[in-house]
Amino acid sequence: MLRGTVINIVLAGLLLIVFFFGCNVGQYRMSIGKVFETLFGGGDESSRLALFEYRLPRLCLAILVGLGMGMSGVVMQDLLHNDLASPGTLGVSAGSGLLVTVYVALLQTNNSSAILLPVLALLGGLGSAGLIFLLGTSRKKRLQPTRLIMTGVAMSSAYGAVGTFMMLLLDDSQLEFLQRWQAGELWGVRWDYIVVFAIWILLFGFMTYRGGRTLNVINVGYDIARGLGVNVGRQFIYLSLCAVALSSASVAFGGNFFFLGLIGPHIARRLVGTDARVLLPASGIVAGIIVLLADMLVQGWTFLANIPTGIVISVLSVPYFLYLLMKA
Amino acid sequence: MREKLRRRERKLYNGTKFVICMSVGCGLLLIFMIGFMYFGAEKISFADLWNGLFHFDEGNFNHVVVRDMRLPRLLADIMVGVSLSVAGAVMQGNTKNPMADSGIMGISSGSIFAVVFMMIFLPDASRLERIGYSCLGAGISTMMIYLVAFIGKKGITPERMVLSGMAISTLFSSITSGIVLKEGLTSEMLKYTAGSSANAIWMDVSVSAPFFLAGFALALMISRSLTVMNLGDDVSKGLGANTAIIKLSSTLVVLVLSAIAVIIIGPVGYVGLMVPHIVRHFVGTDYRLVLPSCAVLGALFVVVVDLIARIMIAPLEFPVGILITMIGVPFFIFVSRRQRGDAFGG
Repeated sequence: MLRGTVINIVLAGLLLIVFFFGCNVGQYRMSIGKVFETLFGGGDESSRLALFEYRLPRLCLAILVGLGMGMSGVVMQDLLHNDLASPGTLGVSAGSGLLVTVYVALLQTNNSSAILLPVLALLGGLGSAGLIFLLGTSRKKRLQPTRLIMTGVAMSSAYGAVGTFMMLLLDDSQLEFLQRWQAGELWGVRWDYIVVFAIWILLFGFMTYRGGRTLNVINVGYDIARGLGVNVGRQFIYLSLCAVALSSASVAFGGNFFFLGLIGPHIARRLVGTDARVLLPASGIVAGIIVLLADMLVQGWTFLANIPTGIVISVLSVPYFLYLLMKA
Repeated sequence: MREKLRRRERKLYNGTKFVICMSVGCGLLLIFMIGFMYFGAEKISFADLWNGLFHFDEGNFNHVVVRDMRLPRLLADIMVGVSLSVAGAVMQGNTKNPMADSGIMGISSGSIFAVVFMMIFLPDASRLERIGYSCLGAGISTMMIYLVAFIGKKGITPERMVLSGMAISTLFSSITSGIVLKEGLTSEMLKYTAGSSANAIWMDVSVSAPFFLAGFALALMISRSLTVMNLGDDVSKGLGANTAIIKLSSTLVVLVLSAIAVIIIGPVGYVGLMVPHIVRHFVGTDYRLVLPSCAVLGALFVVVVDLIARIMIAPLEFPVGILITMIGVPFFIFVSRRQRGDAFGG
């Protein structure tokens, strides 16, 4: 626990360092000194514009998306006792995505009020989680995590098909927006979105963190948890709700980052162990660092310019996933 | 002795079912083929249909529709249906994985990557070259999927195959969409990924046909060995089967057939899962019976679905790939619910 806390603090420090480096990456060149100066109130107009209007929102968004996905992944993996569970593999993010796609397609718009998108994504995510749970389990048999994941993979492709059909009805600019969003682009780069997002993540992050002890017990085994007096059914629903809420908001503002919710918890588990109380923040921070680094690559390397961040994350994290699969 | 008799009885029974399945399938296929040619956005009389096929007149618009639009598309659909379902059946036999399918397993993602790569970097390539590259892409992704699933303590299990397929296809599809977005080809790409045989021309049919026939023939040739292989590697080795050669040739069949399907219709999953399952329900597990039945029913399935896709919202068209996915996903979930718990290792 103590070791975990220390590592968490170190990770948070690392996140800050990467964040500062992130401030220096972009098309408009600024010296590190100037970045510092601008951050703390100084600087000229153009550097303030570059920093506060373009870079900072993007960086904050990247961190928040990472936090949401990372924590959500931990909860799902612990609840299902399976290392391959995540918002992406269970089809929860695809469900969130579908509702956002339908909304964009029906209203023919690509900007909307800040609170509506996460709520829509939450509804989609909850509906999809419920559906997958309904289809992937049966009353007679025990809960089988692998079956849930298989169902999730299949349902994602169904959502994808419906989404593709909706997209065929769109004109080119909306289409491009949706394609980018599906590939995972940090698009909600507006301060009002970020404020809503931050409050959302804080709220549900806190609620999830409160369930950390329960999560530890459930992770040992459903029967043991029941024996220790945990109301497994109720806690399961409560924690899944939190996890879906966290991932939905990330999907709504950041797009579909398929592997993030899987990789974050894995790396974090290697660093801090399996205690959910230290694992939750660590996983969020690790995922945040991954998004930040991927985004810096996109911003700083002209070869990758204009490519959605999610693609960079996928290309970077698939090899790691395959490595995990080979070792498992 | 009684056991032997019963087995013999059962064999006969399956044989009868096979004949029934084939004749009903062929009959329905014929009916729907005529229906496919007859119905459509353009009203065409039976006389025109007949004359367009057998007394072709270039000046007659209806004849052109019949001969150069509907007929190649029909043949393309048949080829896709046969390819996907035979490839699925062979894959399921080869990997002993009841959930195997070239689309679900991510084999087609490699072909799609190759096709998109060619669309952008080698736009002048001929159809033949396209098929070659598409096969190459499918080959690379298959190798990666098998390799990842193979390395490790547990070896190849159905679950690991699906997951490694999912990961590899995510890798390929994200690189593909990266290229597409960078080059600004989103709408063309979208039409392609939705899956449709609307643009099939005679060229596609004639270029793919030899490969298709070769792949199908190879599949029939190894069908007996596949049945033996399904008994388990040890048993089949004991019976004198050369497992390595059979595995290699069945992988080749899967590659060629799924690459052809990708070239003609785009990424379409689930056909290779559904059709063999239904077929096995009727004719049992003898691949000598399974593969021909798969071919007939697969062709029937794709022709029917494409017909529905064409007339559902005429004069517009519903993308057939999406329709197939919408039918396939419930089926997949149904099958995975019926699997015994240990089938996924979970």
